[in-house]
Amino acid sequence: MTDLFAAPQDAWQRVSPALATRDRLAAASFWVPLAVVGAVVAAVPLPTWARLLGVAVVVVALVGLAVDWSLAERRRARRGYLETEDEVVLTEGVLFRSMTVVPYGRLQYVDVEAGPLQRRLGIATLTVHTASPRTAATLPGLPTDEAARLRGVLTERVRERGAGV
Amino acid sequence: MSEREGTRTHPLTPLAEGVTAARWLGGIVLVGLVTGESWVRHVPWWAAVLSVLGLGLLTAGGTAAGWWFTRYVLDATELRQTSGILVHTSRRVPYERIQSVDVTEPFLARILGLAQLDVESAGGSDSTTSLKYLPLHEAQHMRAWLLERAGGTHEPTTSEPGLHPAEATDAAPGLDEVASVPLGRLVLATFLRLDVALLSLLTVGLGVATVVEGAVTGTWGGLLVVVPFALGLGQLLMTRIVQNWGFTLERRGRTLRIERGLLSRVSQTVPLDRVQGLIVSEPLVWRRLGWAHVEVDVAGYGPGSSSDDSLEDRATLLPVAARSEALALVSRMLGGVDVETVPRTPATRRARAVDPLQWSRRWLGLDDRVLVSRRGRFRLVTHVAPVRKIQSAGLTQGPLQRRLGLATLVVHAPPGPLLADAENLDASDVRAALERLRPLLDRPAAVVGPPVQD
Repeated sequence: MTDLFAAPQDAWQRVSPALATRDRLAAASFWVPLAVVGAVVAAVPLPTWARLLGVAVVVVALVGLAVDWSLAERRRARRGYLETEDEVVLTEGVLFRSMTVVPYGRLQYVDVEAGPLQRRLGIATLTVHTASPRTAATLPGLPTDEAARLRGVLTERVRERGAGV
Repeated sequence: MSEREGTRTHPLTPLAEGVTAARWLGGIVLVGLVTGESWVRHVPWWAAVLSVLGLGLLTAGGTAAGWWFTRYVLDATELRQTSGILVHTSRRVPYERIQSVDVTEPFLARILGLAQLDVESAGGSDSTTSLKYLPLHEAQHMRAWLLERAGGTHEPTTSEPGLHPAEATDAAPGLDEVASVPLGRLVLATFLRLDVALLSLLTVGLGVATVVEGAVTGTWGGLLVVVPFALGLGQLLMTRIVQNWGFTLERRGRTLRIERGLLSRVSQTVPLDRVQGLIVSEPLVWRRLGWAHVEVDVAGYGPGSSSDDSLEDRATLLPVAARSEALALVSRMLGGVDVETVPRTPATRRARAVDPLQWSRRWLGLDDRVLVSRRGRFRLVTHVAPVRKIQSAGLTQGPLQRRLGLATLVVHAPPGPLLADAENLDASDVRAALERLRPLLDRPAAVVGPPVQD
């Protein structure tokens, strides 16, 4: 069997390597404080069970950080998008993989957002919405220019095909 | 737009609403008396009567003020409703966004000759705009007027060639009875559902135990257990039997009309073009009898889209019918699609490890017009989605599925009961289905959207 998530035509457009950096920083900002808290609990004179718990928290946090850190680049590399004649196709995921086809005729609106960290890295997140909340087609890690271009193209398609009102 | 424009609803509205609200007071007192709660005995009777009256008056005042400050306008393009005493709310519903219009007569309003008009637009939990109450004939007139503007007389998708041959020949918009449900079958079918049957047995069993206990020991503590069970059973029977009493389904041109209810009458109207999908379910015992239940998914009929319990089971298109009748109805609704002959992709045996209960029941059907997803173990459900109503589609695969060469086809529809995903099929079959579906998806979209809140 050929790859289940092969691009329907041509090849996937990939997102910016900066996305891996952002995901690593985001992971670090979650796991590192947790590890610090665990370490403090393990260091101060408390009952043994509490200090063991602290050690366990440190271990979990470090493992979590290691997993997120090492997967960040693979996640980035598996994320892709593609504009075809009639639709935009998105794919993502390392363990849980998915691919979503959104026809231009069903687009309701397109969002682009970039937080402070993303702005600093020069990337943005684009989200396409249909009348179904399950569509959840989010595309992070687009270089800012590309995000603006894609939004322009998609908004134009919405106007052409006239989804919604 | 001026601050306060438009018409108020019928002046008897506060009465109907107030009495409806006051039922709760009566209910509380009744439960107190039945369960023998001590507070009922310790409160003097006049204090109880006074507090019930006082609370009743308070409720009446509140509903009267609510009625006074609520107005509606129907203009050339939209329905507007303004309400609120302190916080003013204004809601606009553009006519082309209307998905369906229902006229309900809650029991009390019905006695007063009044009805409630529910205008349904797509989108989430707060998409129903209710005008209550109007004189019945006025509500019916307004419904016809609104549906004329919503029902797709100038909607291009309705004239799509080849999609609705059955409707295309339907020149005269005459009334055409499609189905009705005999009372005997409705009652029998209700008791043959597993939940009702088990609850009935349990309630009767507990009741007998309580009576025996009461007779032997003289204590009636068992009532505390039996009463909630009986109330739960009553609630179930209420929704399944009383609300579906005298169920008829008719078609008038391009709209369906459902009439049902014993105490509260409900008259629902669904434009055929707004049907997002149909769900045929066959509970365990019913399968032996060849019976089925049909639900319709119209954008806006999402879970909790209405607070009124008489509307709770609104998605029901046919409470119970022979399976063949149910499938014939689905076929008529979708312009002649035969669910039984749609090309099917069965699940693979490899799915047994991750999906031991349902794998053998699953199949995915797909042709140019519909996507059919069948699943279930004890209760078989068949979700039928017209492809032109599908918003987006995709496939997903988790680590276990990858090991077994499986994948899931995901089908995104507007919020509603329809869930046409096909899980744990062979991975290459799923990809093939997605490729088959892709060119079919990009047809003119249905007009849907949430009501405008400002």
